[in-house]
Amino acid sequence: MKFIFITLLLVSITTICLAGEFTMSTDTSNVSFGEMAIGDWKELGGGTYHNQLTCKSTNGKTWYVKIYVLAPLTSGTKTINNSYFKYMPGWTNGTGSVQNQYSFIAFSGISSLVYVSGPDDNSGSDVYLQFKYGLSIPANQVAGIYNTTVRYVMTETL
Amino acid sequence: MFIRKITIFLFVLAASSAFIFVKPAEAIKLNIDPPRIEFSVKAGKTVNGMVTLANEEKDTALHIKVYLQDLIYLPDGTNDFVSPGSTPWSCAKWIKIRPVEFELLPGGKQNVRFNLLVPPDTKGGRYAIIFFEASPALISGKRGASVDVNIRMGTIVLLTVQDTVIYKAKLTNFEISDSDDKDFLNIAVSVYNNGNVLIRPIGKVKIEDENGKKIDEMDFNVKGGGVLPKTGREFIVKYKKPASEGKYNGIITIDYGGEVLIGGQSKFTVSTGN
Repeated sequence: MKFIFITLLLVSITTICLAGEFTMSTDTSNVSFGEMAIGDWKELGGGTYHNQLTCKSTNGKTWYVKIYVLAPLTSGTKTINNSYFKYMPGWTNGTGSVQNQYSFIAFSGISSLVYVSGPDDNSGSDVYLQFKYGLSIPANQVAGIYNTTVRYVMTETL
Repeated sequence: MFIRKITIFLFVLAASSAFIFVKPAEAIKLNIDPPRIEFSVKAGKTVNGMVTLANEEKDTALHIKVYLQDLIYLPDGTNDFVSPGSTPWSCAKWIKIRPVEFELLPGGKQNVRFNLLVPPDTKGGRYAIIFFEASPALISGKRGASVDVNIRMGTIVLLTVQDTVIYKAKLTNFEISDSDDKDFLNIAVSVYNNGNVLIRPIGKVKIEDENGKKIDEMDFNVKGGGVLPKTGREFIVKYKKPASEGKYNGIITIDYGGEVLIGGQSKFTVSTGN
């Protein structure tokens, strides 16, 4: 009986050792601009940030984060061009490289590189990436409730 | 009959309302394990694999979609993703996944299993990525102007067909020239993969003065960036200009995993005012 117990314990330990972490989280899944008028520019994130991604990898390999918008902001058949909707990568505690840090960048339907991990980011530390968002309403934009989806992508490189 | 129809209508309305007006969940936290799987298999055989997904949020149920795509390299060294089966090095069409869509309860785990059938006569290396899209399971349809945020994570699948691998590469360009920064030079290295498997060319660039004396040496492609079969890739390394003006020689040696190393030379001049 004792032997069986020890065997099970070893199996359990082996399983724990093999488990890896490759995690991404966002502290909010919504970016709400509320009501805006033609010509308005509104920033979300104030003096700090609107949402924070937390990425973690124990795999020892370089990983990166990209961002894109699935479609332009849309209300029925009306859209707001992506050039009016922007994101700003802000502070990070990571040791990798942030692309266009502290600059507002227009969204694109093609994924844009935001962060490439550094060697110290690949062994299990939480890497925080903070974001702000901005939206301006172009002249002659038809009133409506506009929605879209922003997607963050985290993968290793091939 | 009329009353029955009304009752059914109200029931459907009530059920729909529960989805429409539920407060949207906020945070998303997804773990995938592993983010990379490598197989070495004989042609005609099948292998099985598994990725474990964990919803690490305590309050948010996640809706997960699973699908496959092909990978290509972008000039910045990262990957872009294209339709499954659209590249010659793809194995995406050979992979069957289950389940492909499901909900993951707060704190819950789900194993996503797949099998990969390697067709007979397949040679070399094949690649794909399994994507896991995660969004809050309950999203309101009545929240005013807003943007949803969701996440997508990938597990890269690398397949090598046993006893068929050919490593072959050539150096197509090696040039040392001025860069945008006056204090630095660009070392441009282009490698073409003539073989049938992904290669990761690594090596050293040695800088000698005109008398053949070594004055510097640096690693090339330290991160092990890959070159896919039958494609070329340019690597750019920034190099601080030698302090003294004069003629110099750059010598590169590359190990791409084949039986022999490849190499090349590039001469450059540093002059005052450059």
